[in-house]
Amino acid sequence: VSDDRLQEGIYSRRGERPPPCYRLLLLNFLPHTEPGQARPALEQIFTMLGDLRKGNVRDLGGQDDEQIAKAAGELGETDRMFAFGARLFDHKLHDPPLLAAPRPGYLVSLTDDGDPFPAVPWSSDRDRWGGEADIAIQLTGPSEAAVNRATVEIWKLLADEKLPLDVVASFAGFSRRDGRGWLDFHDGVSNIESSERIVAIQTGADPDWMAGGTYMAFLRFAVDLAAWRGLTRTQQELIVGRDKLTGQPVLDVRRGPGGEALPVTEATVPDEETSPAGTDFREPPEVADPIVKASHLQRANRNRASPWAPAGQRIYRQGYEFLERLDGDGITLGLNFVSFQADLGTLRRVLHLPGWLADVNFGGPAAPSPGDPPNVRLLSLLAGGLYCVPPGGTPFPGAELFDDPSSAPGAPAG
Amino acid sequence: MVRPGHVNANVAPKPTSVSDFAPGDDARWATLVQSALGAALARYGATPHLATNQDDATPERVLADWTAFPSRISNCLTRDHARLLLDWRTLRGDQGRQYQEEYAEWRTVLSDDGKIRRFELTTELPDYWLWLAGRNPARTIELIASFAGEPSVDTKAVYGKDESTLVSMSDAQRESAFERNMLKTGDSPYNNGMRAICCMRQPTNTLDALLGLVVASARRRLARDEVTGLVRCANAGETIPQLRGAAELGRNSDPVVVEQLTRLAFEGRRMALDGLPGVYIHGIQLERLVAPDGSPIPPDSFTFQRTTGADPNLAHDMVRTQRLVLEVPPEHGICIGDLIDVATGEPIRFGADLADLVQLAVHIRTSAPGVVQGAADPLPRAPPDPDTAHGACDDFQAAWRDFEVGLNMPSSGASHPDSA
Repeated sequence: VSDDRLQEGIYSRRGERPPPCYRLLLLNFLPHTEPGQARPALEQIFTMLGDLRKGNVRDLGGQDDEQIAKAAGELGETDRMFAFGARLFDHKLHDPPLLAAPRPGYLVSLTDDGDPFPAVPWSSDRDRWGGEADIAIQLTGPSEAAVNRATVEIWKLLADEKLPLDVVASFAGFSRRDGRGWLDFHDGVSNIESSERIVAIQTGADPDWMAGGTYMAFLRFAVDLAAWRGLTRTQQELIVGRDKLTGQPVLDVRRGPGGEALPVTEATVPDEETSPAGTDFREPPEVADPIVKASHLQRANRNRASPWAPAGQRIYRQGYEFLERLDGDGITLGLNFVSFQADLGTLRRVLHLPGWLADVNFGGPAAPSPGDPPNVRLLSLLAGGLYCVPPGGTPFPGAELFDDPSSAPGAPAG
Repeated sequence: MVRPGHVNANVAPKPTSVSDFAPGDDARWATLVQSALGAALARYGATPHLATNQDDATPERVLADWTAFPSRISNCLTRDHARLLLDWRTLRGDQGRQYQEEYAEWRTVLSDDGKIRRFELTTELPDYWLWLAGRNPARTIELIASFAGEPSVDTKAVYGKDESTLVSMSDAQRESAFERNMLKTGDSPYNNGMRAICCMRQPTNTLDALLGLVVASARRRLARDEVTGLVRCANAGETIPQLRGAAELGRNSDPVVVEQLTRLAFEGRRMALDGLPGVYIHGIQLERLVAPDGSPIPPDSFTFQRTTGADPNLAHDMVRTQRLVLEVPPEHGICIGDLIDVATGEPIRFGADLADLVQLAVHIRTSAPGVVQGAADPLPRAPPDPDTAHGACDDFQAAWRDFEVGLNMPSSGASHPDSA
């Protein structure tokens, strides 16, 4: 798309696939940071990450060309993306204020008081830092070495240059090449046709400085894998809405001898006339059975509409799974649900609208009858935050936000 | 529990048993609707995918849903400006109504301190009210009085005529009188928001527009992907420019109806309207609203009105409702303007903020797939410009240039009797 101004790190263009390794680094400005210190600090980080891709490592000044080329070989495909959280706009947390711009409409901190979303609670293992920060830097690359080295180089830079930023947290993840997730089902199969993704992702000029940018949701969901594995394959397929092996959508339900619901999927792979473009993309067909309608697949894409229909509530997902802990006390794993959307209100509606994902934790009937798949609580939130992702720009994305902090109004932005 | 196809059970309405019509008039209203459907078919052409009557061939129920906050104006003007314009009130009433284009219109009632105390939203079609006003003026006046919370309403304020004159008028004359006062630019306070909102009046929130949207959309349209060359179901960006004004890009309502019906046709289904055509309130994003102390909004803050059961023989009856009132009962000590939307982190300041929470739906019946084997209408291969997804903005930008800060005072000065 000619007017694609998105930052790197969003792999929505035709033929692109997200690299396998992910790390999100969260930073807060130190108390009493002056506006005149904030902008150069971010510029230094962004510039350093650019140098790193060329193989220039700060602590290894004087390397010869061959050594630099080796470093570039490892680090050269690491993408950096800058994003700003609601906290950055909050004048109560920044004295003096760092920005003059008001907070974009749906860019808010997730609630601490209760559950973050109607059907998704906070995890009892909730991370201490919650996922909210002034600045989020997404690093994606071909190897753990690449994204982790970039992360640590930022840490070094903060220390060496005494930049007014604290590390809040960092979160790692990986992607699978088989197109499946921890639930063992296909994931991301119906993730918007590539030619339409820009409509779902890229935002307009509200506010002006976001024109051509996007909004990111980072939701680190813990998955209760033991509970999931306690279900039968049939129950899992009805909850997800797909055949576990083939990925074919469930179209109907029949009843077994004991009255149990059994999924009915398409018998054959559709031909070209009924198969939308792209071998990695397919919208689910319309279904009538209420159990199928209640599946995750149908709830998350209830209107089956493209991004050209705002009420289709389409978001572009680019998730990374994680294994956080496996020890004698158990296992903690899940999904870094990362989505990009033109409007964070879209994500809110997916998670708050009745019949979408407001009334069930993952999928299936909210109040199952005998024989229906159970309403299993599968997901809880370990950490999460919403971020605005300004369009690409120099000296770093969103730099103009810091241009005239002296005009920042005294009143809190909320 | 909320099951697909049902209004939020936590605020579920009860079907009304009161008919608006005298015996026989309901059948004549259905005939008028059929006639309007025929006109839409004549305008946009017949389609094998749309049955003009529900029949056994369309047993399955589906819906397309959207939220009532008008997305096009927000994309054109920014959300902040859109909210100001959508809630714009002058001495002549709610000027913002003319921009409420999602098949839902609302009014707010403010407290003395300027906070919203009451929110009323309707999806009732002006065509229906015109018909009702012509044939049953007593019921018309009764309903309007109940909406306004007044014991009675002077017929002059609704028809521009006193009661004795009204009796001697023909149905057509009463329709004209009602239209002049209550619809379009009529300034009756009983439908301009000052004392009540009775039915929709925005020029495209009509029966003809809704039927035109359905008829024009229910066709199998294909697009060939410019890169892969593969054929797929056409999207709204490709379809709507071909619909001769039947739909508008950038809205919440039109594109989703277009895509839903196009996709059903793409699957070879026959469709029919499920019951009398209309847009119905399907749910509310309740959990987005919290009191200032973070507690949930009391469920008795919501009242559904103008509800009917589409099919009383069904085990899970699909209750249809077309009017919503939101007002926190006084014993809770807070008003709507004190509530916080957790999605924006802001208190409710505009009716538009609440419209964003309301889920609307159009109900469709369909056959199984593959019932209709028809040729597709081919569409151009060139993909639409993504910038056009937001829709046309000229009218809104002109309106914003004319916008002046409106009234910031209680709409009627009187407390609604339904508020204790």
